[in-house]
Amino acid sequence: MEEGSALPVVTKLVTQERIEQYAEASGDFNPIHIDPEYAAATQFGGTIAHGMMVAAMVSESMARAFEMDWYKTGRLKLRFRAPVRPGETVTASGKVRSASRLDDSRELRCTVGVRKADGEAVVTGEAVVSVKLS
Amino acid sequence: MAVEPSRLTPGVVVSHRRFELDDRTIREYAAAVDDASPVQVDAEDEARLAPPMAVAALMLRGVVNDLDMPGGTLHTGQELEFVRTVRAGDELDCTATVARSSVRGGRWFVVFNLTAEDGEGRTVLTGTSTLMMPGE
Repeated sequence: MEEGSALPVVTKLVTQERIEQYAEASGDFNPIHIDPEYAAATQFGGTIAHGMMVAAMVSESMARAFEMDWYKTGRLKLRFRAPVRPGETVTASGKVRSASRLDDSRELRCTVGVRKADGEAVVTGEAVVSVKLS
Repeated sequence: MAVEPSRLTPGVVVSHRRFELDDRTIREYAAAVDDASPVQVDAEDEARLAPPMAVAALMLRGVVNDLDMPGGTLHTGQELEFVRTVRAGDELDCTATVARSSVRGGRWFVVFNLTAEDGEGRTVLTGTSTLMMPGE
């Protein structure tokens, strides 16, 4: 990957079933995610996905691109900008913004984000990874 | 009773828990996020490695479960640094500490420092979570 290279695109349909699965897996049972009645009375008017569930798409994209280097050296800085509701399709994408040489590796700084089908940004941020030079 | 955000002052430890990240937990996590990236395997002993975001989810579990957050609390920001890989079956000590807090527009913004250490006391993941809580 070089400066300007695109990261693998990850697209998913968010469903209430998947949100409930994530609640079980993460232990986060905040009613805004899993209780439709409670959530209907909030500013969102219904349940929303966990931010970290959506953020996982960014990590999946980085893992596809950089495999073990991502697992060992990855850094993420993300802002959650908008809620994702069941039934919405979201896409994680990004590109390498800069590449710099370190001693025995290259550090790649990537602009990353997740958007809805209409282009609304739900997650924005930066991912950094050090790739071992062979 | 929900926590009063003004009590979340820097240095307060809100959670300290030990979790075992077993293979089942990893599989449930991967299924929940529908992660199709290839499973990473440790080169030395071929053990299955946990996706780092599964470790991050465990770190946050302590905050979510031990802090009775007021209704309307939202997760607004997340920083993570993956330091070491975690193998299936590893036990993790996860600690969440208040880093700082501020009030803006009648809402509290509380930043937590998160750390996860393996059974040998080595840091495997660090990060910060920013939560926005209602109330003044």
